[in-house]
Amino acid sequence: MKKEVLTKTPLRLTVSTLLFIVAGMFLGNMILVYMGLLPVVYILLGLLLSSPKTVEVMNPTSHTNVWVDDVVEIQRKVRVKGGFGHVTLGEELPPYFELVEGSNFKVIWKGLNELEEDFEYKIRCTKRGVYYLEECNWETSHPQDLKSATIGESPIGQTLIVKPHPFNIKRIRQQKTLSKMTMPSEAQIRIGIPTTDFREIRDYGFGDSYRHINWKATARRAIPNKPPKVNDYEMEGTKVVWIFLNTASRMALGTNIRNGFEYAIQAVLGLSNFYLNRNCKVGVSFYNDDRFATYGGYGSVRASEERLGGIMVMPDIASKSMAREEEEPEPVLKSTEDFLIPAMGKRQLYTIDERMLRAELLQSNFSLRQCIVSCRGHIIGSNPLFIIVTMINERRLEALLDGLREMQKYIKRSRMRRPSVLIIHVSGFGVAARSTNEEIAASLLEMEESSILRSLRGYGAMVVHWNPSKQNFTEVLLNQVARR
Amino acid sequence: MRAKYYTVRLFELLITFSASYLAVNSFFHSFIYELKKQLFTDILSNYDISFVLAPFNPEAILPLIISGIVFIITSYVWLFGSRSGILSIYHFNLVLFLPEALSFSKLDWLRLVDTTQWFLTDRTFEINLITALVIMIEYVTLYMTTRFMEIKEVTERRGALREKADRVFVNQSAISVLLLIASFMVVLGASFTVPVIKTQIHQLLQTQQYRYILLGIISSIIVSASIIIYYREHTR
Repeated sequence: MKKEVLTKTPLRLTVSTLLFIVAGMFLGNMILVYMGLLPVVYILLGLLLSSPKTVEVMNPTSHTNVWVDDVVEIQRKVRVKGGFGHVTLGEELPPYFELVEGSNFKVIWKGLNELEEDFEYKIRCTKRGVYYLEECNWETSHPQDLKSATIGESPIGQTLIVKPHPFNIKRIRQQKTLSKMTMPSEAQIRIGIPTTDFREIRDYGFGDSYRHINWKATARRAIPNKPPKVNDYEMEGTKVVWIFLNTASRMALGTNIRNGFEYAIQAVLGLSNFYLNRNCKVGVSFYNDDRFATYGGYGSVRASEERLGGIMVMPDIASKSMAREEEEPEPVLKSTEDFLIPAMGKRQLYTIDERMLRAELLQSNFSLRQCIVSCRGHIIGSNPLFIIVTMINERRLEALLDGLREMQKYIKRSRMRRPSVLIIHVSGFGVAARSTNEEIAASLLEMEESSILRSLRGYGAMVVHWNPSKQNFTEVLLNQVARR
Repeated sequence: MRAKYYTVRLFELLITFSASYLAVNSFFHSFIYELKKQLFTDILSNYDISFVLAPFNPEAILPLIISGIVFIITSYVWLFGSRSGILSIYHFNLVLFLPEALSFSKLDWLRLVDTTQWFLTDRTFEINLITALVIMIEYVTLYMTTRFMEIKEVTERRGALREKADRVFVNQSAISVLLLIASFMVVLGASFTVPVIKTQIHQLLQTQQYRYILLGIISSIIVSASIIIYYREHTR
């Protein structure tokens, strides 16, 4: 705490009136002496008053869980003891927080009695993460500004956990539709204990129990030479889903709050939720395809990016990543920091939520292939469904293909020929576009991307193109539903 | 709270105009005013333009002119002047008051070069003292109100609610008024007690053989003790 010293106010008053005292003594004039005496007496009497002694700021809640874009009411109770004067209180807000109502700066007057007052304001949390409101700064001032203000802080220790909204993917219940939403291959085997969770109605296949034939559905859809319909139930078993999230710098395309990476995280949370609810084991891994050095196929996308102009709003990270490209890749193993081992249930959902809150760009040093190799021990034998959430880029295509080739080693061909790799392509250009011209440029870039996406389907991957600014994630996945 | 804010501003206005009125009144009782009046009458008669003010008595019209000028200047500075320049009202009042205040000087240094008695007045010491103190109250009020206004503006700029900032301003001003009243009483009390104490001390010292040496020693001790206490307080 800073010690109180005299301010310039008493000094200026004294100096300006000292002239009267000196002149009065010089001329033997008592009126001038008394004139000079009045401000001096005023200052002396004023100095007898003291500024408020203690300020206590109390916080009723230590942890607050909110969703992104939620408005939170911050409440404090302030107690001021001793002295006179005004007390100013201020709390520093973490970045990405918007003040909605009230003010995080307050001035209160402390009179004769002990003061207890509420300090409230509302903020909007615009970005996921864990934020700490550690202390409230205060300043007590002398009632006549004769002494300097005392500055101090009171600990608050409030943690704000801002969770991203997961996209809730609902079951498709219409009987006349067939879900193409890919499931792990192991879910399609007939061994294992079927649960009571209805999944879909499908054609009878070899090994299906007769008990599961849905005669009503078969009668309704009776077509010669067509197999009967069976009710399909979720299997209790070892279905494994591996989600790979790209943390490359280009994922930050967009604003600080709305960018490809934030949408990708929401997608990961939605997908984790979906598969965990269907008794799958879900593992999450982070990779960075900037770590894969390649120089081919650069020209066309580069030209489009030049046309984009101001869309690239995070030049610092992008340039950092470009500079890093020229260095030798350094695959440094960071133990389990880069992936979450597949597990089931609510606990895993909580772990993934927690991990996603702290997910940062460029946090991984592995390329996709290195990432798969590093968690190979958990993949072998599980025949998992791989989901890659990324922003496909022509320059980084080779890195993706390299990873896909590595994935093929762990995938068994299923009888149903369902794809075992799902690529969610978050179209960042659409997110970054703000004006009409930028939207046109973004559309051009997306058109360029579509040819790349088609080429990926040749590798047995199901590619979902998602423009978060235009499409809801659930809608995009519903597009994968075809009518029978 | 807004009403209280305007009450403070009204008090400030009242003090300012009271001080201006007393200062002008003081000026009219000074020797300088007598000179000006003479000069004014001479100008009117010498240039033969006394017919302009023929219906009026020139001696009666001059105070009105001066009062009008002072009122216009004070009002203009108050209404249109910047907050930092408001102290010029005090300076103006001081200039008007000083000629009469100097009439009470015991040492007339001007008489050393000229035998003319420049500073004379027909009013008492007490009236002059009250005028002097009101002018000083005006000075402190204007200075402190300006400072409180700055604090209010700063807190509002930093994001405080206007109502809260007004409340601080009003309370600061209220304390300032109380302190000024107390200071006024103290100084007024001192002005009445000092002559009595002075007579007592004078009588006491008359009996002492080396009274100048004694006074010198006592004064030196008081000054040294004050300095030591001040430094101890500020180096703790």
